[in-house]
Order: sequence, then structure tokens, then C-alpha cells
Amino acid sequence: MKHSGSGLFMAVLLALGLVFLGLTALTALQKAEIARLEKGIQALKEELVPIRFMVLERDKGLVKARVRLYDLAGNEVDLLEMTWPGTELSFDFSVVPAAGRYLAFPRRIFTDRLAPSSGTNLFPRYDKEGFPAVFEGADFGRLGRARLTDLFQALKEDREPSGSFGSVVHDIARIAAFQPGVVYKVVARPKGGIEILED
Amino acid sequence: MDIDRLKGPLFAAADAVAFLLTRPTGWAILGGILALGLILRVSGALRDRFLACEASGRRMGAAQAMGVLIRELYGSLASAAAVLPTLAAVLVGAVLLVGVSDSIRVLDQIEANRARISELSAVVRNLERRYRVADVRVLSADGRTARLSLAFYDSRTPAKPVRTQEAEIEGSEVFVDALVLDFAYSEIESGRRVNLALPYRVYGNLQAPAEGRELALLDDQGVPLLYRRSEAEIYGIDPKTYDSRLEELMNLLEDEGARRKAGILRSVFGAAVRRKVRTGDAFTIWVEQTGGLTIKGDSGF
Repeated sequence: MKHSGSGLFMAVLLALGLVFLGLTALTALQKAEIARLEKGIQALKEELVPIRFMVLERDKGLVKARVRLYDLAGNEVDLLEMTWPGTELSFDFSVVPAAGRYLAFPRRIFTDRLAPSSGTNLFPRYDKEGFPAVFEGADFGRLGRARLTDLFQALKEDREPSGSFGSVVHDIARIAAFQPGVVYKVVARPKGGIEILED
Repeated sequence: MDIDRLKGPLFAAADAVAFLLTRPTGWAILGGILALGLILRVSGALRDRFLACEASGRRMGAAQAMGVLIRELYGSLASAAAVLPTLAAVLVGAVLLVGVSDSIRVLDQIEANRARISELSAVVRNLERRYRVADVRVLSADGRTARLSLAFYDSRTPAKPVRTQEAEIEGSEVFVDALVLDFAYSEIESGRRVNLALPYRVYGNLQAPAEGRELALLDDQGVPLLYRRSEAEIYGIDPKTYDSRLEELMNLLEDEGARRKAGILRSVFGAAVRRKVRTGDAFTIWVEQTGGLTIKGDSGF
């Protein structure tokens, strides 16, 4: 009788221990899930900044701006200071899907008074022996670099890789004009969207 | 009965037990209490013996005192052995108390984690969401001009287009231009707002945007045509609510100061997506909730 009582007691103790271990394991799984979701949210909000620019002057139907191109590490790749006819400045990108996200290649700059085909071509400005220098600063590996070089070559030849599209961001004079003297950044999002934010 | 009210005393008792049994300071306190009890017991016995000796006119010797001390120590150990099963039961009870308390805490943690996972999942869903802005169908294209059919959508009624329009552009690439309002991530994550795109112009790569085809962004009252409906068309939405939404949107569009002050807009800018087109092509333009416009899923309609 005494033996069966202590046996029952041990069984209850063991069951409680197992329940506690199970609950602890469940919280560990939940914590891993929370970490995964938080990482996913950060990844969705990640921003790459290929271009920063500042409108220097708008006068007599011309817009003058200073534009800087950056690589993935934030190093400056090129600087151009030009005047274009028009008032609204447009930054045109070729957006290409690769490895589960989208890559934005700066393509050209044009304005509301300048047809895209007559805009300033940006490809030669970051063409480093065939490799797009705006993608320096990250370890893509040899194959990745070769793939980027191929993609860049296709874009230079006006061929559109599958799933790619063009994305242009610009100001709108009557609603949201770029203010002279203010630095703006062009932000490329992992899901392919491009937007302009004040820096 | 409110179980939550029992948690406080239960957790306090469990914490006290855990402290006494697992921390050096707790051991020191327990040891101190035992030592104090022993000292009181021995000193009481010595005092009794001393008084008995004094009453009988004898002096209590050191050997006698040592004998009392040893007897009391032995007596204490014997008493402890006698109550050992009770002590063991108390100890097991204490461990169970700590176990039950910790299990309840873990259950609370599981519930809190479940709520957090649900909240984060909603954030991911809201951020990953995209809304259809327009369907573009290429009616004809010869490399110099292209004729398009455009169907525009409102994110609140995504099932059918709110307007359709035809337009012609010059060139082989079509640009569909829109005014984009990207809201602060806190607004998007909570689902309180969605990023908006109001298409207002199409043009081709051979023409300046200013020479493109206007899509009549605003009506004569300054309201985006996409959002202007008759009462019959806004089935399911209270007309007053609808009008207040429109008013809010127009305030945001028009008043730079107000939208900055409100802190709800991340950016307002123009955005166009472009695509090289041939006759029969069709594609869909989306506004991403992480920001910007995209073209995805060409065979989507």
C-alpha cells in the first residue's frame, strides 16, 4: 500500500515534470517563431540607397541638380552635376528579380520636358569593366558577380530579363516638388518598389 | 473566482521557497534559523540545569554543562530524524508549489508569445500586401505608337475596376505615371492605412512626360476621379464616412505642413512603371505596402 502510494506520487511528479518540459519546449519554439517574424519584418523594410540628389536651381524652364550614385556599402560611385530642360526631375531604374528579391539598376535621368529616350544614360557611369559598380560592397561570390554582369549586359543591350520592369520616381511640381538645397534619397525596396525620401 | 488574484500570493510564496532552497543566501537564512533554534534550546536547558544546581546548593561544573550540551544536540538530531518524513513531505510540497507556479508562469508566457506571434504575423501580412492599381492591355503597338486600354482600381473595392480608359502613347515603351502616397510604416503595419497610388498620366519613351495623355486625376472640385462615386456606387460604406475619407485624402495631398505634422505620411512623390510593349501584351500595376509601384504577375488577368 505504502509502495503503491509512493509510486503514484512519483508518477504524478514525473507527469508534472514532463508537462513543464513540454511547456518550456513550446515557449522555445514560440521564441524562435517571434525571432523569425521580426527578422522578416526587418527584411521587408530594408532599404538600399543607390542615389542621393539635390536640386541646385530651377530657373527659366531649366532644372539643375547634383546626383550621386552609391554602391551597396554606401561608397560613392559617381557624381554628376547637370542642367536639364524642364522642372520635374525623373530617375528611371530597371528593376530585375534575382534570388528572391528585386535589384534596381539606375538607368537614366529625364524630366517632364525631356523624353525618356533623350534622357541622360546612367549605365556608363557605373560600368566597371562590365560589372555594375552600384552592386559593389557585398559578397556575391564569383557566380553572383558573373550573373550580375550578364544582367547588366542585357539591360545595356535593351533586353529585358524575365520578370523585370522599369520604375521611375519623380517630383510633381504642383503637389510635391523637390526643394532646392534639400538632399533626397532614392530608396529601393526588396519587393521591387522604389520611393523618394528626404535624407 | 478570479484566478489572476491568486497568482500574486502563489508567485510570492513560490519565489520565497525557491530563494530559500536554491540561493546561498537562502541556505544561510535557513541555517541561521536552525542554529538559533538550537542555541535557544541548549541555552534553555543549561539555564534550567544551572537553576536546579543553584537550588540544591551545588555548583554546575564544565563537565556537567558539556553533558547537557551533548544531550541537547543528540536530542535535536533525534527529533529531526523523527520528523524527517514530515520534513520530506514539506520539501516535496515546496517543490510542487514552485513547479506549479513556474508552470502557470510558462502558460502565461505561452499566451503572451501567442499574442505577439499573432501581432507580428498581422504586421508581415500588412507589409507583404499589395493592391492592384491598374490593368494595362495593349490594343496595338507598332514600335512608334501604342494604343492602350487601362482599367483603374480602388484598393477598397478591388474586385472590379472603377474606371476604364483608352490612351495612345508615342514609342515602344509605355510609362504609367501616378501620384503615390506612402504612409508611415507604423500606419501600414497596424493596417490603419494602405499606400495609395492615383494614376494621372501615360506617356511613351519617345515623348516628354508633359506631352503624355492626362488621365484626369482630379474632378472640378479637386477630388481624385478614382475616388469620386455616386451614392449608389459606394454600397457598403456610409456616404458620410466616404466623404470624410475623401476630405482627409485631399487635405493630405494639398497641405504639405499638415501631412508632415500628422506624421502619418512617409513620402509623396510621382512614380511611373514602364514596360516595353507589343500588341496583345497585358500587365498589372501594383502599389506595394512596403513602398513604391511594381509590375508583377503578367498573366494575372
